[in-house]
Amino acid sequence: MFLRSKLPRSIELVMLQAPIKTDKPADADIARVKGPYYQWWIDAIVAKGPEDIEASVHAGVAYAAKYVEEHGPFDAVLGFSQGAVMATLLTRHLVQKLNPDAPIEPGQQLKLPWQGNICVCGSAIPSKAWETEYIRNPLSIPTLHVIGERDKVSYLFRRPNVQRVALFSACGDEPLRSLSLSHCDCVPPRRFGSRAKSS
Amino acid sequence: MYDSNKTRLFVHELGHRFPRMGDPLYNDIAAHMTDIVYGKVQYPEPALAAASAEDGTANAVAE
Repeated sequence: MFLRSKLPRSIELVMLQAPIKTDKPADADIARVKGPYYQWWIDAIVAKGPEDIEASVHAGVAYAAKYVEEHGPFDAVLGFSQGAVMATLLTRHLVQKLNPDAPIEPGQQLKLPWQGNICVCGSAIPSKAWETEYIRNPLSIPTLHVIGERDKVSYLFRRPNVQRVALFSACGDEPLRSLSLSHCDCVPPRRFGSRAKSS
Repeated sequence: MYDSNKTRLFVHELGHRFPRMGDPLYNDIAAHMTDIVYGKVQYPEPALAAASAEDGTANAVAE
């Protein structure tokens, strides 16, 4: 990853592969890389309904949370595509776990699992109900977004007033404070977390 | 110029992928990511946040 070469050596990147194997690449560019590919939740084409997708998302969050518990702590989380959304979902999950008696509400001071999220080509939040909830009650956590102008997968630019705002709002108390987790849908290498080495 | 308190969104010219290898954008992305990892990023000022919300675009606060 070229980004790695630009980061200080004090930052260690730890990769986590998404749990669902597939032979279907996310797009033509990714198809140039030989599969199998991996994703965090099942596709709508394969799912029997929205409940199926949500169940697989929950399983993905549990899988990533277990990894964090066993291999953490981490200082930040980085995700690509579906992984960027999963990073967001995971962060919320961990915040709720760290603050069992405090609801996620605007302005609420909460313990955070890490310093922030790095989202590259974040895709859509896989549930309308979650999207609504996240916009209403975003987390306050620093987040960085990287988006391609011609990105046809993320929807962030095709639907600027819906998915983009939703993703950016998911973790902030304003549209640019969203957050997200690791990996990507259907690209072999997954980016999970970054950890600053102690000097 | 990179400003950790204003830069939140980095847009490159490609599609659903990381920026092209060698893209100068990586310098700013890496700088902001490093600031996040080390806890140096502050939340946007309320006025800035309100402006971007009103505008409806993330680019309102992107450099």
